[in-house]
Amino acid sequence: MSNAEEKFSDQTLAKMKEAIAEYPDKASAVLPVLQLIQKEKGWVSPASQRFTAELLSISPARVKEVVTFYTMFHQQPVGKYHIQVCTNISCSLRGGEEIFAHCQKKLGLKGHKDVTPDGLFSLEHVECLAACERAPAMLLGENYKMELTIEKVDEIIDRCKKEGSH
Amino acid sequence: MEKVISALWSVPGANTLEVYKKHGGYEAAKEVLSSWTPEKLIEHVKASGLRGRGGAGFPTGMKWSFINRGSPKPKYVCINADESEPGTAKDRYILELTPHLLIEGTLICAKAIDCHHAFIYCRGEFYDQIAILKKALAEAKAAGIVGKNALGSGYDIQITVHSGFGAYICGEETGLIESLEGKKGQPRIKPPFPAVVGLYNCPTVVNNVETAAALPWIIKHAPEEYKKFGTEKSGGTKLLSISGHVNKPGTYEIPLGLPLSEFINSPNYGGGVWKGRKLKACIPGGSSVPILTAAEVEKTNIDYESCAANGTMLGSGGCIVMDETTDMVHSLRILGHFYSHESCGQCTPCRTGTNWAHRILCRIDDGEGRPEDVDELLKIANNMVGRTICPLADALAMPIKSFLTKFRSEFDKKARREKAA
Amino acid sequence: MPKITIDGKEIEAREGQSVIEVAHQNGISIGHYCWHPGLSPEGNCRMCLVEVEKAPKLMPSCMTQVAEGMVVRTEHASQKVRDAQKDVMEFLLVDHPIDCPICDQAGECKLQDYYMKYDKQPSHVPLETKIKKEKRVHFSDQVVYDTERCILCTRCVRFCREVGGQEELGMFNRGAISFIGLQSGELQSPYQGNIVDICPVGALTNSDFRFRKRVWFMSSSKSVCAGCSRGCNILTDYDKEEVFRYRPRENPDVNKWWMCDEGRMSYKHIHAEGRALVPLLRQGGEAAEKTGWDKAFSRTMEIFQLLHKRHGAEAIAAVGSPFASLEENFLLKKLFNSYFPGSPVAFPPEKLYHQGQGDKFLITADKSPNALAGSLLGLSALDAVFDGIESEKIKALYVLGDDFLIDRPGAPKVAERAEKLFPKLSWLVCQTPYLHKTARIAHAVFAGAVHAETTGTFVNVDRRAQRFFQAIRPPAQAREGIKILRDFGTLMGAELPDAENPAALFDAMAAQEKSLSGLSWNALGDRGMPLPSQGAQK
Repeated sequence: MSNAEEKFSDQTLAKMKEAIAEYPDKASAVLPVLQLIQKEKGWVSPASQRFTAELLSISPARVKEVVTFYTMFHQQPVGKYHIQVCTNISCSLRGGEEIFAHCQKKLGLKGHKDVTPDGLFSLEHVECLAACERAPAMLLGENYKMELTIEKVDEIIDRCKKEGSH
Repeated sequence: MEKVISALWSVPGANTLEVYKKHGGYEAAKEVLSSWTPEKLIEHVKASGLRGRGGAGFPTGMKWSFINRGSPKPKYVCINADESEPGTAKDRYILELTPHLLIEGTLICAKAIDCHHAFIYCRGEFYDQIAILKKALAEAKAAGIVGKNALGSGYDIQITVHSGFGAYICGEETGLIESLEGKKGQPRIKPPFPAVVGLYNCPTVVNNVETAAALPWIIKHAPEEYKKFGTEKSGGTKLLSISGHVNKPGTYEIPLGLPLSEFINSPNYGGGVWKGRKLKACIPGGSSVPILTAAEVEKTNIDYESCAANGTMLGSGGCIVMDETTDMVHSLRILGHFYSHESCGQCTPCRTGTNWAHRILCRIDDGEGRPEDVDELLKIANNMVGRTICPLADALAMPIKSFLTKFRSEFDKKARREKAA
Repeated sequence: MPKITIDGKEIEAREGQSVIEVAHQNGISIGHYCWHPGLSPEGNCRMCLVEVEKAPKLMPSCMTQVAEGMVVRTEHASQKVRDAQKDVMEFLLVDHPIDCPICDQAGECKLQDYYMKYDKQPSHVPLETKIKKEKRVHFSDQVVYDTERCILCTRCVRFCREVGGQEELGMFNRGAISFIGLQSGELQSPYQGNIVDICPVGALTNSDFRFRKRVWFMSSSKSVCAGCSRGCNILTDYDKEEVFRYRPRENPDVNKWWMCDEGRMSYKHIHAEGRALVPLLRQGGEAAEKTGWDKAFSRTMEIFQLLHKRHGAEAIAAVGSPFASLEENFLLKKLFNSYFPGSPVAFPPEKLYHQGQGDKFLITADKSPNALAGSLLGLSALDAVFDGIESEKIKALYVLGDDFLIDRPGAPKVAERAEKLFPKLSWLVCQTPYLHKTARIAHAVFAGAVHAETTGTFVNVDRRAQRFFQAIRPPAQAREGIKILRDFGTLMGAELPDAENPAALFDAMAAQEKSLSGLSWNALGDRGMPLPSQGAQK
């Protein structure tokens, strides 16, 4: 790759190649490639966008369109534990908004996608996670946590704090 | 009732090839790939009465029949696993518990339109489910079920699992196609329909996960058998999620035609409204369909026709139950936020209308409304309907109109800043 | 050839045309923002909705292809359509900042025009509740973006992708917080100015034009860009005696709807420093001095006559210019051929004004607008003049237009020879709008006009004759080239065609020049005409 702004592990590069091979048109691999980038780096930097554009022979503008359209892409670094609390209808009927407010208070985070000063946590409210029947729900990193209560959330966050500080 | 889709949900290890095959897995696909013609398959599924389970309810066999199989272009099947309609949590179960059932259904869809490369488009939040599906796919490939000469049939088929990344609109079939092409998921103007100009400008069918998952059973039975489950016009079974204020939220497979109140109250399903409270309202088919009052719930059965007769839709099967304490203004505000957040931004009426409606809902809900705001909301809803490329604007307009019609006094009260009684 | 009916009118359309195209071609206007005839349609603004019989909902006419027997009702025949358009207007204005008093688009803004046409209702969205977005985002030195005014029609995005050659812009985010931008850096396209033209609202403005002139004070004259040999059709926008901008003018055979940025900015030469404002004469002393036209003409005539008498007609030569109109070059040829027969009237070599390679779109290598004039009028090679000076046969020279004394990569020898030979001349006349090096060594300077200050014809690289019209008058005492030549000629006693009447002048020229045979001023029209083919002349 001539674009030297951003470097990726050999493993990630190999997976990118595999992803590209899955599609008749390599531009289709823009989501998988960006997902691999986020998996390795935690976010998708502007330099990573340009890397992706070059890799897939599409324009950087198109890559940025994709990154800003799909809300799971992080355009700035997030915490080690990224918490996404569903506040959509089914969850909110069963306390989803209270769960989100509790997380805000407990983590001392105000805005959307803010990060704690120790870099451990970031928080956002998200739209329906398709776990309505086990509401309220959230994603902790890549894992669903469902049927939440304030106590369960405390437990989850405390455990992360413990693990994360080691 | 015999289960069509959820039969193996309680069987341990049903997500493995071994257990799935033990229960007759891939027999249907083997037969179809080896010896059925697309014509026979399409006729069989048409006769079963199977309709698309993603929300629109379009007859599946008919959808397949629109594909010009003689076209020299490749044909594509896209399985829509971008489950994201609020209230709906059914495809997640299929992905988690019986991924092979979905793969088998995909093989059958592919055969119907002479497709040799199918895509399963999963929502990005389904990290675990995608991992399960990919593992199952790897098993299937290793066992010669997917790939060249699939199941020894001489039919070649490749399946790609594709992950979205947080965009409700990619559940709309042309949005999904755009997304698969590596673009923003902005829906396309129809016509041309995907059957003619779809993925990579090739003939394409988009089928919902649940639709595909129903196919193996349907193939193994006479078409009438499937139809028998439902009503005359709504054949078969349907997965329904029930969420909100009920004792037993969950996802259940029901025969179409089941009375909605039974679904809410039966101990086999929702188990009744929680905390001994009364039912106030129910959104039967996912957040974009019109809401029903408690009285309307009594009259409604869970099938396409009865829902339509009662001014709502079966949609994707996300039944949201609200008890008597529910704040309707706040609930609609949540939906307003959702749809304005998910509007792709292409069409003027949707981009601005959903956002404007949401802002008005916020100020009414926050006690900063104006009496005329309620009528303004109605006007916005009316001005959005039917004037955009895809139905996302309608999907907010319909709840706005039904909430305001059926629970108007709550909105007026808040808009006039009257203290709650 | 599908037959369709629009508003009761039966129309024969071409296969594959959209309803809006057909309607516009037949004089039925349909309101629109995102559609542009030069770009692929997107159907996002929802302004061009029409009723199509049997269609369940209103259809975007830009994305609806004609089909045999289709029955369409537009805004002129359907209340349903008018209602929808009014609602679209309302949606577009919900978050619009209504900053027309400080917006440069005011006066040529589709939001303003359509508000008056379709909407006309008082705002009921308080300003303080509108979404605030970023103002004054610089896409480049030239293009400034105002997010709040943007209606996200994506014309600019599509232009860059489909015409500009590079997908530089994108529409980022989604829903109401969407905006247009670059992934990084600045716009690179040499055609970026066009996105300002096609922006239907005040979202994109040109930093060069911003805040300089309200558009309703300006008039436009039809013209042709003189920046290269493409001859893009343009409008010269001016007020009083000042030109404020060039804009492309549609011509399907030349530049479609577009022009390059260099051409667009070339209007700046009009008011640049160094214009020749008055006639000059150098008599004995080092520096040329201001003089009157009569004096400049009569002194030059005296010398020409003197040299003529002493050395014969061959002693007085002339050089035309690819920056001057066909008519100017023609008058020059007429004047010198009739008075000084046998002496060359030359024209600079084709390559002299070449720079770079040009591109595959509009920009050509030849930076002069009328390079074919020399061969069309049968003018001699420049070397004939140089050789004449060198052999001391030619004693006086009348030069039209450009500077010969600067190095040009296209023909390096020209400056070298001119530098060596021009000082040998007894009398050098330079008729020019600029006081360039050649003018500064001339004995007489006839202060001329640039093309925005005159009317005439250029022939472009594809042998297309195109008219341009005067926008403003030449500055101070400068005069239009055709007038200078005619006045000087009259003084010399020549009978030249009337320079006050461009049609008569052109038609007289076309009657005398074989290469232009069959053409007439009126026939050239707004879009010009191809010259008779070279084969036909023989």
